[in-house]
Amino acid sequence: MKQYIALILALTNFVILSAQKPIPLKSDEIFGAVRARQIGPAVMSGRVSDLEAHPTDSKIFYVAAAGGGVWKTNNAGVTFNPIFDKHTQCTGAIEIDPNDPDRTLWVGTGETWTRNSVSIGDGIYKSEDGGQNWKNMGLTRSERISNIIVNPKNSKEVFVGVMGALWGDSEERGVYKTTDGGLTWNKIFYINATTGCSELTMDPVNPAIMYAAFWEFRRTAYSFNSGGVNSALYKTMDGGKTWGRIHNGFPSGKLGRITVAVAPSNASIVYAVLETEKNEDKGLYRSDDAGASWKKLNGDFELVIRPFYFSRIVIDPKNPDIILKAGLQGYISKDGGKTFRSIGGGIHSDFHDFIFDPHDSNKIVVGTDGGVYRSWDGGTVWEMVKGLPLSQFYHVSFDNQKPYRVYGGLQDNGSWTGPSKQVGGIKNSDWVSVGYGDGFRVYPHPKDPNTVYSEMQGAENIWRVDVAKSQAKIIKPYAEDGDPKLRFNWNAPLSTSLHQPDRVYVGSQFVHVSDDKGETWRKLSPDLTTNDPKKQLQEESGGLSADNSGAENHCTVFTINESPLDKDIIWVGTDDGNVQVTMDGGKTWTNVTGNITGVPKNTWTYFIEPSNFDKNTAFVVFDGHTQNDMKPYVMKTTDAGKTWKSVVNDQIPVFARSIKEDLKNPNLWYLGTESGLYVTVDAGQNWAKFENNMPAVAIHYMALHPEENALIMATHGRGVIIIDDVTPLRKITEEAMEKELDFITVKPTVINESSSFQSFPAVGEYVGDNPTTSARIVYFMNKRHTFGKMTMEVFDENGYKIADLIPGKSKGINEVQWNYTLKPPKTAKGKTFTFGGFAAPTVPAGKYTVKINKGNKEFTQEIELKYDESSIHSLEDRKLKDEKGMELYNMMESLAYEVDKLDMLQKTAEEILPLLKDKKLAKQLNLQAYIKEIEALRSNLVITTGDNYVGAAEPQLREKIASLYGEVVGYAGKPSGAQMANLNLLKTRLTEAGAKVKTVVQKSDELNKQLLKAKIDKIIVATLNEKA
Amino acid sequence: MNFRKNLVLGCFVLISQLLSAQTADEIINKYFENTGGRDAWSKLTSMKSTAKVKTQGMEFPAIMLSKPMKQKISFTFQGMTMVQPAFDGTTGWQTNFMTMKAEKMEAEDNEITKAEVADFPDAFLRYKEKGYNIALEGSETVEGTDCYKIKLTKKPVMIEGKEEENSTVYFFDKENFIPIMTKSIIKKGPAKGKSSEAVFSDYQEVNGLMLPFTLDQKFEGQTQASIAIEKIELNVEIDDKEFAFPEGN
Repeated sequence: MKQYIALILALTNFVILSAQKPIPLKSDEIFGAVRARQIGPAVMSGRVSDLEAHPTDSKIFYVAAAGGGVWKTNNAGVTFNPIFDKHTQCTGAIEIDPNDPDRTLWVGTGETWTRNSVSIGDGIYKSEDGGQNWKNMGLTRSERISNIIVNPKNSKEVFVGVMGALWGDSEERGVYKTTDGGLTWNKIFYINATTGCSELTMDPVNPAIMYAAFWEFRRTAYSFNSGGVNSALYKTMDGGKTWGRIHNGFPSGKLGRITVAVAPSNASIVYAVLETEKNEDKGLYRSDDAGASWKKLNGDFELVIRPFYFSRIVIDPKNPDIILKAGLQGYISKDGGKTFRSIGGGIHSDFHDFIFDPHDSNKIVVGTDGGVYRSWDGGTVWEMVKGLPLSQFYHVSFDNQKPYRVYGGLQDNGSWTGPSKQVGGIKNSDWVSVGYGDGFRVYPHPKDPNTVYSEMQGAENIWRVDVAKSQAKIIKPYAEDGDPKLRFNWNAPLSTSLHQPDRVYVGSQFVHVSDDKGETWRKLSPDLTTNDPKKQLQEESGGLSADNSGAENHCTVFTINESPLDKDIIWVGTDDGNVQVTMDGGKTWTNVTGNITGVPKNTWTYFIEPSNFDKNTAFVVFDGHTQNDMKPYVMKTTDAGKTWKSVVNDQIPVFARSIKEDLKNPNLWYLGTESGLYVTVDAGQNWAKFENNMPAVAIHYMALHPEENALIMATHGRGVIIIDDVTPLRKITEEAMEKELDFITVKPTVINESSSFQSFPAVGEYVGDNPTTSARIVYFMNKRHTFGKMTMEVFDENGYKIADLIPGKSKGINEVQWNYTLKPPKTAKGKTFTFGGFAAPTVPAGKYTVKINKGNKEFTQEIELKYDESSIHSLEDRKLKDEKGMELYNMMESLAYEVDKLDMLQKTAEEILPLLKDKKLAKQLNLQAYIKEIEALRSNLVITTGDNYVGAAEPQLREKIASLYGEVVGYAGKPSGAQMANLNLLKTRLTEAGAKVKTVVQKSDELNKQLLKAKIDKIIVATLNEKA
Repeated sequence: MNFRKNLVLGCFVLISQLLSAQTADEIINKYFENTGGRDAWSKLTSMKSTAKVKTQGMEFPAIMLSKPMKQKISFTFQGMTMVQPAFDGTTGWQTNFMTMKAEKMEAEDNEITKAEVADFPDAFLRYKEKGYNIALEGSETVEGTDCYKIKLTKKPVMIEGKEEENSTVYFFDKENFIPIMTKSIIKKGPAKGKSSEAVFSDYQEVNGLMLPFTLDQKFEGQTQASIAIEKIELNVEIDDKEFAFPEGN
């Protein structure tokens, strides 16, 4: 028995020793100052699913984005604040409680415009403080909520339309009701597991009357179906107890998606748009008797187009005959639906929702696949909101320029490249288009970032773009003689090679490779998919409305990934679940799918990450959501695919699409999920959500920049988000977390030498943050420092203290930024500011010591500042600048000292004046004349009149020195000849001024002798020291 | 037997203590207990803090004066003093940076400032008399530290002619019952709706009261300015004239 125990103990020890020690992470206690940086852009914004206007205050409206959360404007749409960042960013319905419109808001998650790339929700949320805090109120398995309606007479009573699951059966569908403000819910109307409530609307006068549209719909990875015998329009007259079909005047047969709206100004007028079995029956129906009978009015293109994507009508709040219909563009009728015209020419297509201003129906806001637009003239001309960074990236890559650029493609918004850093922030105008259509994967040529590869949906086009010359050549591969039809995924794999700069890979059912930048192609593989013919019937897709856009193309290669360690190892994943690998550059392929257990059959192979440390190791991310499976699957092999092990656990609540293994720390991995970023530092044993400025957004792809140590994320709804330096995450170890304070060495800081230029802030336009240019001092603490002093000082190489900084005191990772300047010089006191005096000289490159004093302990760390190697300035130039800058710095302080003396002389002389009661003595001393003399001298040294704006006085010596000082220290290079000459002149003037002050001071000695004689108990002094 | 009974009882008491949820008032009581006691706080009649403000690489001296319903914050730049802002009990004012003359606050801002100044000596002291409400809003980790979230709601203020809630969330460190952060939503101006945070540290004793000597002012979680307090003087004589709007300046 004892022996057994010993054996077990030995084995346990062995397991512990041989494996990475688990490091449980509490993200909010550890990640601290490591913060994500959002760079947008908003140039093309992103898909908006729902809009909601405040019932009375025109300045306030809300935007729900398909993948970018909820935004609120307080100024009629000039600027917006994100108010839902902690929760899933896939939102589809906003409701303002009409009884408490400034505080109580509801958000339904999950989008109802069910395109192939749509995400999922996790229930209904409520805020009672205007959107600052949100609480999930349940319906967590609803997947997509179509409408929320608060009873306008009772805030506790709320009705919710649940459309439900898109990729599977669900009993969560139907109409739900709460009578206790969302604490409990009752399903008050349900059809079946395939038919959900796609629209719920309430009578404007009588809250007991509601209309509910039910829709039978289903998507798979390879097909879409809209319509069935269960799709129908229902009405209740008793607050949802009983419902009846209201089809009097509708055609018989199957129905598809129905949208319904009641005129707010006349409850008898109801409009519905029907998707029907026969094309000639499709279109707009109107009822003038509250749904008792219907008449078809119109079957125009915009009324019947793609009901699964465009299914909303909005009626003017004051005029029941003015109707807006969302479609490929906007469609407006002013005669109650008889005739329509298009609105929205020249702006982004694919409209999803509208709102009217509550007080002026000429003011309309629309949400599209390309963001939000406002019209002031009833929809004729539209103005884009340029401050909503909702861009839905499918992918991101980077180049090696300095600063580096990022590249990526967007849902319905083309392909783009933009800078990771730009003077004044990353503006919309800094992004350059490198494609059109829907954009997906974009890569720069590894050696020549002017050459960029991009593509559109289904690889209909693949381009090689010369960015500088604006040339785009189509370079896609074609089926060769004897080939079957090539099948490309909607989001077809395209990539460059880590080993061969001119190589390009593209995936259909085959892997195609080009070694001449896309001019010629050869097949590198056989069909690597399951080639299941049942999943290739896209022509039949769509249901009642045919929809074969290419979005359902299936049995295709989806990811092609080379090993960074061996050019002959290439991993390929397919959308129908295969994992294939070649170890010999494509000569032979092994299907290793069968070796993987625990992942359901045909689960989409979304991404493969071959290891940076071992060529037989790889990670595979499977995404099961198109099989109605929302679990995360991340498998790891260490033997080239023979055996696999899951590396995720229930700490990851939702499916994932992307993983990155860190480039330096083999136990540090980043996981991009459908609802935010997760990090492990113990090789997958524990995962923690990273939430510092990182919304819970879907991450479709990630890249690690090896030189910058940056994690770059393609989010599908919030643009590109970057963690600029993952170094601190690499250093999270159990030992570090236990130390009172532990410094983390980061890369030396390159001194920022760029000048600043005038730029007025583009209010309303999104500007992405830049990375910091300051020196970063990074350290862990095991506990927050709350009581007692904690200080941070910086010393130069000679041990002189040059800066006092305020240290971070948080538990976890702290980062203090130092702008590597001295303090500004002491400036002579005048009547106005001298702006040059606010300038602070930049310290030279070199090593500096940071000292933290905490309690009675001292912690030190060396940091390094470097000059920019690509700078236009030489070391000699900088040295001259430093010398002359410091000379001027000292001149500023000398003058301040001289002026201080004068101020003190004047002040003490003025204090003596009233003590001179003896008129004779007063006349003899003539202190008034002395004070005048001081004042005259002072007014030549500093400005003594005027203000800081256009009432400015003539500059005096202080202003002249300060101005030159500011110019010299404000430029990183050599001072000009003229500046040097001016310096010499000012030096002479300062010496002269010093001599004059000396004369005045000497005069005070004479006066003081007389005061002493007259037994006046006060003397005139020039400095505080002399007085003491 | 008795021993076992006591043990069980002891465990029960311990567990129920652990489980018993803190109420907002209990947390505030502990806060006052741990920072010098309600009595000492109640006896506070004035406060003068001398500090250095650090922002964007610059550093300048500041003096903060407080008395009941009166407050004055002044900064010194190049030897010149700028008041940003002052409140004398009825009128709020500040120095214009261009003319360096005092100017009165807009009426609405005046009322907002008045509501702020009423906190002295501490927002939670006699909060009911002041018409404030407090509510425990659960827990949250800030500064890596587990905290109670207490929302303090004052009387509503008028913003652009519309009545709006005036509230601040205080984060009390669970270990010491001391606020280490406050968070409020900016009520006015172009940043309306964004969050503003103040983070407190370097708590030290001054005449029996524990007071923070470092304050980091943040905007949307990022430090904008840090205030390093060098000296705090309590119950010092401060002439009412200090706060008064300088007429005819």
